[in-house]
Amino acid sequence: MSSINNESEFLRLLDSNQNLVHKICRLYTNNKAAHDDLFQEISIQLWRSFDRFEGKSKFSTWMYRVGLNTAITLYRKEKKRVDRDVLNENMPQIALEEYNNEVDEQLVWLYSKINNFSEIDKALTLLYLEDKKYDEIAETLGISPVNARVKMNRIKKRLKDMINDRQDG
Amino acid sequence: MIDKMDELKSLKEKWANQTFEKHYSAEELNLLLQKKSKSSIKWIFYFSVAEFFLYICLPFVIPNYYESFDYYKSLNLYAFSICTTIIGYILLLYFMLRFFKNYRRISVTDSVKEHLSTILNTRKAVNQYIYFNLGILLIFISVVMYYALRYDQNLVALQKEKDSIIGILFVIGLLIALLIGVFGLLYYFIYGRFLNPLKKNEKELMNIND
Repeated sequence: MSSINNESEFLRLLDSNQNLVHKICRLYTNNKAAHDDLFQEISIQLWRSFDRFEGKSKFSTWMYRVGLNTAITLYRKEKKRVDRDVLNENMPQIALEEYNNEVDEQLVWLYSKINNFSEIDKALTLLYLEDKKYDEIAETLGISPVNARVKMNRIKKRLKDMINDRQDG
Repeated sequence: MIDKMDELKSLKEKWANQTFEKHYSAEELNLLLQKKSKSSIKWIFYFSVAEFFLYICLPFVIPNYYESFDYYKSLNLYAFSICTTIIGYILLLYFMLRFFKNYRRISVTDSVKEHLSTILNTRKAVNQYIYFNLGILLIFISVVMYYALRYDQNLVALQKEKDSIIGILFVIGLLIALLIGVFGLLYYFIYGRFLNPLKKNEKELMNIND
């Protein structure tokens, strides 16, 4: 495959899957600038490793791996993170204001809740919400399918509890 | 209960169908790919290479580099100073290769668990590198100071005045603390800032393993 074909093939795949990249960015960042930054970094990392993709695993598995790895380990300034965390804890409505394009109140609530999850729990929640099979979750995260099932049940329960609390409160 | 199940279901549906305000066109995506990556792992390796070449160049850059060895000779520390210098170079070379290996091994296409492990290995290697370097520096200065107090005629003469012994020890202690502090800070600024963000990954790896 020539490199031009390769590039256009990649751009086609990225374009048709960009919603997924956006979801990861939205989960792992708190404002638009950081979201755009992460989107760019994930795109670059996907492109750089595209020649290693070679269809060995499912395209989506490969994309989840690269996207989550980049989101979890990307260098971010510590101070900024603290500021964001404080902002997030105290004033979720302000922290989320920049994302006001989302009209769905339930989704806004969901994101604000997941925002306080650990980075791995965010990944687990994403894979749960994406309705992935245990095998694919296991392959993405590097754990056993049994462990993946245990973790998915835990996340499911956590989400249910959150819904309970919300309805009670 | 049925309500809650339904709500989870509807949440999943909304999740699947959500749209984002920003939708990049193919041209915009192409432009994004031309930008520079912000990934920092490679810098750890680059800095160690730079440091290695800086050390190699030291004898040519510092004007009186070899004269310092004459001073160590006068303190009966010639072999010791040569040995520590060589050990320093070997250590640097060893860690440079280790950083290079990590840099080559780190791949975003690994599973999340593997990726976190490799990154943590890099962090461990850098921490070891810093501690080894500071350790060697501390041993080197302490030994030189000890011998200087015994064999450096100027210092020996000074010690004859009783009052000045405490003063000398105080100055030496201060000097050692200062040197370690300066080098510690230097390493912190060169490597530490890349490592701090990686620290949280340790917790994440434990999260995935539990």
